[in-house]
Formats: sequence, structure tokens, C-alpha cells
Amino acid sequence: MNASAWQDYRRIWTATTTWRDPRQVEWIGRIALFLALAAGMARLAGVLERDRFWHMEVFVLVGWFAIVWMIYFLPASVLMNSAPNAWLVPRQRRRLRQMAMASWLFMTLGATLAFGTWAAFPLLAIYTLGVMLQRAGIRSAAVLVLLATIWPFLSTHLPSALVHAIVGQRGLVLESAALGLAAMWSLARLYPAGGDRHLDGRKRVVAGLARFDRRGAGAGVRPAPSPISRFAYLPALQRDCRCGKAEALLMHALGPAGHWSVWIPGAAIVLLIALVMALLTSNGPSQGFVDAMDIAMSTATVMAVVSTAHFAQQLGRTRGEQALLRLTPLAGNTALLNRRLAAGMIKSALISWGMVTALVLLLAWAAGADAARLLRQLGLGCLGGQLAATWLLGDFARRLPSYAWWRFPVLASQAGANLAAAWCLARLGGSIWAWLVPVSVIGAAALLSWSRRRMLAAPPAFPVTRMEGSVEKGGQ
Amino acid sequence: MNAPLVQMSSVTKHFGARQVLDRLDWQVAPGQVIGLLGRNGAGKSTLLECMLGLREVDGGTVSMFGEDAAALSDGARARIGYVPQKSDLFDWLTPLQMLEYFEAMYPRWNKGKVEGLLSRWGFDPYKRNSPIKKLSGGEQQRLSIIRALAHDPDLLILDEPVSALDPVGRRDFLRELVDQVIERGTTVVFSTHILSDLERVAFDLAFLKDGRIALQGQLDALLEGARRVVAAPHALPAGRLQGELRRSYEGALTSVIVQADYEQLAQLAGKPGVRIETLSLEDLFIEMTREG
Amino acid sequence: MTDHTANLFSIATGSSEPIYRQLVEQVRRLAAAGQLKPGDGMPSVREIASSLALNPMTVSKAYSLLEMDGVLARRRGLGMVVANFAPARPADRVELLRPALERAALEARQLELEPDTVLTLFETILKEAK
Repeated sequence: MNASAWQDYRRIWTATTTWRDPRQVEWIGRIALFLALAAGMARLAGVLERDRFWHMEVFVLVGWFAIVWMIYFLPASVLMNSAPNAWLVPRQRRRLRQMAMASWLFMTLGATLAFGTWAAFPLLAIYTLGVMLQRAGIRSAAVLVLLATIWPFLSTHLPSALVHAIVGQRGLVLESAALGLAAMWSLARLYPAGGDRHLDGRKRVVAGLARFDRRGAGAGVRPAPSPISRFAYLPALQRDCRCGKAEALLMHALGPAGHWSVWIPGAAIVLLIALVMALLTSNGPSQGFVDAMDIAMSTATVMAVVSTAHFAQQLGRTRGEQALLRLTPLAGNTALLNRRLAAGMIKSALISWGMVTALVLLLAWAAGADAARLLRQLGLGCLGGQLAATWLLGDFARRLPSYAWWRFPVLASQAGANLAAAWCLARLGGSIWAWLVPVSVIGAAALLSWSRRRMLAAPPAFPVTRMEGSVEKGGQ
Repeated sequence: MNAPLVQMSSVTKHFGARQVLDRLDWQVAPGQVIGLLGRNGAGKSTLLECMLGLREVDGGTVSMFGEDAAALSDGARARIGYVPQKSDLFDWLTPLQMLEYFEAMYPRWNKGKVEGLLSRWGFDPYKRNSPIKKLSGGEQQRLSIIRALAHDPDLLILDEPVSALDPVGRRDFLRELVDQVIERGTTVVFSTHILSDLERVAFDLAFLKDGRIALQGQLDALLEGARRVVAAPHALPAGRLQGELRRSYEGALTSVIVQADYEQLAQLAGKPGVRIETLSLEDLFIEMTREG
Repeated sequence: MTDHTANLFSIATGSSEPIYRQLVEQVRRLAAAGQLKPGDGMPSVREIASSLALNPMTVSKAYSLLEMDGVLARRRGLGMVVANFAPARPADRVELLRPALERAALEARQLELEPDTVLTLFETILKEAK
């Protein structure tokens, strides 16, 4: 490789790592260095054996690279590859494709090395490929990630002959080759080179990336309406227009993403996976289905939190619409706006949560789960509901609820507190899961009522975050 | 070297059922400064994108610098400057970072020109070091233009390059276009709605209508030659007039746009009830691109 | 002997008269009025193009026409200068009025007026203007 190629790579790398706050890159680097040194110390102290030590170092190295790659390089490079740039800037696209392929190989091989066994390669390859594509805005790649993560669980339920074929020697070689080709093909698709599809699909790609960038790629970027919206959202919109109820109409400021119909594709996928698991599982179809529902409920717990985050993101994107709504009679005077919005958000969240929980429970019951199982799932669902309710309402004029990863300790401690309380109550009789239900319900109600009062006392929510940075009056 | 720089033959393009370009023929000779005019939605951007090879054509051929537009060599790409309608410009970088990046990607880069443009167009050190997404629309557009000019292209394609600029900004841009680009003999193709800009700077015009280049020629000749003849139908000779471009009926009068034939015009002028009007570029635009 | 700058000119877009023709007419008018004296230096094509944001080819077209008509002359090393011409006789100057009079005549014909009526009106206006 000649010198200019390396210069190109370096320039592209520098340009992309300033995509977000570069201090974050430095922090990640420091943490990685710290971990590497810690492993080194542990080795010197004799605590860590040689093999594990090297695995650890490789793991840290690959992990650092993967994080920087995913968070910075991928979205930025896809944005840089706009149709005019891809077509007219000499060499850029070629370099981008080379870098993407090289990094995928590096991450996958490195991770395989860290795991120590060649058998991990196909799994890791699928996983890294899925994550890369998803990060670049291609939604359907989530399937790949899902597949790779549930494999350990899945393999214990599949017929052993099938499993042996997959992880056997020949199987691995075949899979590796196939995956290599698949990676080359899909990574090239990441960086199209002009043409109608590139130009016309650009908006969708930018919207897909914006989902990961908290500050949003500008207020004008919207996720494209899914076909579901035509069946569920639009009729609801028409109905609300006819009835003229303020809460419902205000919620339409969030667009289709703020409507309960946004759950349907996710629910469909979960259902599909559950069916597949039921069929493949060796414990008997209904048992497999119930197991799947367990997973579904745990996922739903997380999804509840995600959906509130999603609401918040949508609120952040629709400031233009909010400004218009604020000027209509619908908004009422200042306190009325917040009251109506709070009512609307609670209602919407409740419907979404209720639907998903009921669906999972119903299916599990239909597949023959016993009462204890069902109670456990209900308990988890209620816990998820409480976590989702934590930041649902608030002073939107000043800040939007943020479900950033560094806020997770708050959620974790809430969950911990709930479980502790339930455990204490379980001493009095009944299972911990059964007690989790009322504990979470009460917790959610308390959180909602407290945050609602705050919201009502706050300035009108629309347009959101216009008062960002201004000091709140009073002690709240 | 008078081989055309850009040659489009029989180019067709449709989007679904809609025909946007219909067996369009067009040539751009080296050194020409052509204004591309057409209604909103007539397909000007599509035409420019097909010309550059950004969009595939459904039929016909497009060649640039003698190469097929669908397979341009790196050398050809380095000679093209393009300012798209919507700038997509690495908006998380600062102007200086962005320009540095592109400087590395192009073989030729005129640092003096870039520095001059940045300072003449109001990019003080503060602006040069703020992320592009924080700049206003007009500033982003100016930056987009600077980037396209920086590598001294031989062919400059501009798609509504001044839509976000105020009159002062536009005048400054035109001045730079004259000084830095046209004086050097660069070929320029630009599509804009701002006719006064075109009148100043373009030497040739092309009208895009119904998927084809309906009229093209030197701007001066078109203006001087075009006349509108308004008369009652009986006052006009039967059949088409010499150089007739379009005919329309307004109430009791017939209005005909003709490309001048002085003899014929002198004859008509003598008749009572016949009015012969000169056309401004705006009138010509409206007449040429009207439906019907 | 003054050296003129591009400020001499002003052009109007949106008229039916092409820009090169506007430049030509302006130079003719200024020369006839005596504001451009023989030997005065004219701004270069580049200067005019840059200052008014015009295509240099348009400006050189105007200059070529003026050179052909003998209003301007090219001096080696000095660029374009105003040519030595005899001060415009009234007979020449009145030719400059032709376009305006032609327009008036056209309107008169459309209004179906008699030439005598029109001339009387014109005389009245001229006397008023003094």
C-alpha cells in the first residue's frame, strides 16, 4: 500500500472521529488503556494466567476499536458518502469500502482470538456485521444481531445433530467463507456510488442515522412512515380530528412514532421468533413457546424504557410542528397545554404498555404456562412499566427526558429497590414476583403523580427545550 | 480543441410513469457559460444529475470529457466542480477541516483562491472554526461554492447555487464567478431562477421543457430576436409566421412569439391593429415554458 | 485626459435590451454629450466585467462594436481609449433620439393619430421644457 493510501485513510479517520464530541473518543481510549494496564498488573501479580491475560488484552484492543468504529466512524462515513461525494470525489468511496472491510475483519478475527476458539468465528462475524449495518442505519440488520445473541440459548434447544453440523469442522469453514462473501457484499452496499437509489434513499439513510445521534440530524429529519401507519395511525388521526379531543390531537405532534401502532412491527418480530423457537425446540413446542415468552417479556421490559426514550426523541424532532400547535386555540392557556399533554402521554404510554404486556401474557397462557410463570412475567412487565414511567413526564420546556446510558444506574437502582421491597414482602407470604406487581404499580403511580405535578407547574411544554439552560425557579 | 465537453444524445429518463427527459440532445462546448432555465419540477436537477452520471439514464448516452459519464476516471472527476442544490457538506466538521479533507482528495488545490474567497465572503476566524451545522443556510451555500471552486475545475456545474443568498451575496458570487472562473476559461453550466443573474453572466441559454431542450442559443441573440406579435386573428397572415415559436389565444387576440425576421416584422408593423412588443428575459421565460 | 473607471456604466437587467447594447448606447450617449473626450482612457474589459458582474465576452462584444463604429480606439499598451472624433454635430446627435421617437411613433400609430396632431404636441412639450 503506497503512502498516499495511508494518508487517505488517516484523513478519513480524522474527519469521521470528529463526528461527535472528540473528548468521548479520548475518554474511551483512556478507559481502554486503564483496563489493559490493569490486566497487565494482574498478570504481573500472578493473579491472571498467561492465556487469559492475552485474551483480555486482545479483547480490550478490539473492544476499543469496535466502540470507536461503531459510534464515530460508521455513521460519519455513511454521511460523507452522499451521492455527489461518492461519485465525484476521487478515491473516497474506494477507501471507505476498504476501511469498512478491513475493520470488520479486524474486529471479528480479534474477537475470535479473544474468545480463543475458532468456533466462535461465524457467530461473531454475524454479530459484528449486524451491529455495523444497524449502526449505519439499516434497520433490518437487527435480525442478525438478535440471531447471534440468542444462539447460545437456541443451541441448547435445537436437535443436537443440527448443532453438531453447524459447529463441526466443515461447517465452520463453509460458514466462514460464506460470511466473508456476505460481509463484502453488504459492506459495499453501505457505500453506494450514486444512482437513483442512492439519491432518493438518502433521506431515509440520514433519518436512520439520526436515530442514534441524540442531538438529531436536524429538526427536519423524520423516520419514514412505515406501511403500518396507513392502517393504524391514519384512521386514528382521522377519528381524532373528528372528535376534536385536545389530548389526542396534541399527541399527534409526535407523529406516527408517538402512537401505539409503532409497537406492531416489533411485536410481530417477537412473535415470529417465538414461533420459530417453538418449532425448533426439543422440549416440546409449547414449552419452547413459553420459554420464548419469558424472553419476550424481559425484552418488553427493556422495550418499555426504549419507547419512552423514543417519545422523547420524537418530541425533540418536531419543534416546528409544536410551535404551530402552540399558536392554535387547542393549546389553551399555558397550564392547560401541559395538563392536556400529560394526560395524552400517560394515556398513550398506558395503552402501549398494556397492549404488549397483555399480548405476551395471553400467548404464554395459551401455550400452557403455569400460574407461577405467568406471575413472573407479569411482575417483570410491571417493573418495566415503572421504569418507563420514570421520566415520561417533566419540564419539557427546559429539557427532554434523556435515557442516555449514563442514566441507567438510576433505573437499575429503582429496579433493585423494587426487587428488595418485593423480597421483603415475600417473607410475609406469596412469591417475590407476585409482590413485584403491586410494588411496581404503586411505584409507577407515585412517579407519575409526582412528575405530573412538576409538569403542571412548569412553563408550557411546546416547543420543547426552548429554555434549555435557563435556571428553574423554586427548589425543583 | 472544439470537441464538446459534455455530450448528451437522445437521453431518456423516467421516474415511474412520469417521463422527465425525453430523447434529449444537448452539447456543452469548452468555455461556454450556459444558463439552464425551466419551470420548477421540469427536471433541471435531474438533467444535471444525469449529465454528471449521478443518475442512471434509461436511454441514450452521456459523455463528459470524452468519457462515458457512467464510468468516469479519477482524472475526469478531478476536473469537475459541482454545487448541488442541497449542500451536504460534512456538517459536523468546521469549514477549515472540511476544506483540508477535500484538499487531500484532489490533485490540484488552489489555496490562494480558497483563502481569498473565505476572507472576501465573510468567514472570519470564528466562523472558520465553528462546525458547519452552526452556520446559516447562506453561509453553508457559500462554503459549498468555495469547495467546488477550490480545485480549479475545468467544468463547473451549479444547481441553484444562490437560492439562499441575499442580493449582496449574489452579486459577490457573480463577481467571483466572473473573476475566478469565467476569466480562466472554465466551462460553466448553471440552473437558476434568478434571471437577472443569468442576464449578467451567461452567454448562452437553454430552456428545458417537456423533457427536451426547447430553445437554446446565445442570450443576446435570443433577446434581440424575440418579439411578441399581438393582433386580432384576421390581421395576421394565414398559417405560421416565420420563426414562430408559440402561439396563444387571449380573448379576441392572438399572441405569437417569433424569432425575428426583420422583413416580416416590418411588414406586420405597418398594419393597423398589430402590436409588436419586445420581450424581456422574464417574458421569454414565461412564454417558452408555459403549458400548452 | 481622464481615465474613466467602470463607474461610468450602469446596466439594467430585465429590460428587453441586451446588456451589450446598453453598454454601447451609454458610451455613444456619453461621447455625444461630451463627457467622454477624445483620448480619455476607458476601463478594461476585465475591470468592467468584474465591477458589474458581467460576462467578459459581453463587454468585449460591446467594445468591438464601438471600435468598429469608430467611437473607441485600441491603443497599444493603453487599452481602449476614446477615439478622435469630431464633436457631434446636431445632425448626428439627433440620431440618438431616434429610438425614443420611433417608440412614440408606434404608439401614435396604434392610437391612430394624425402626424400633425402628434407634432404639435411634441412642439408644445419641447417649448415647456425650456
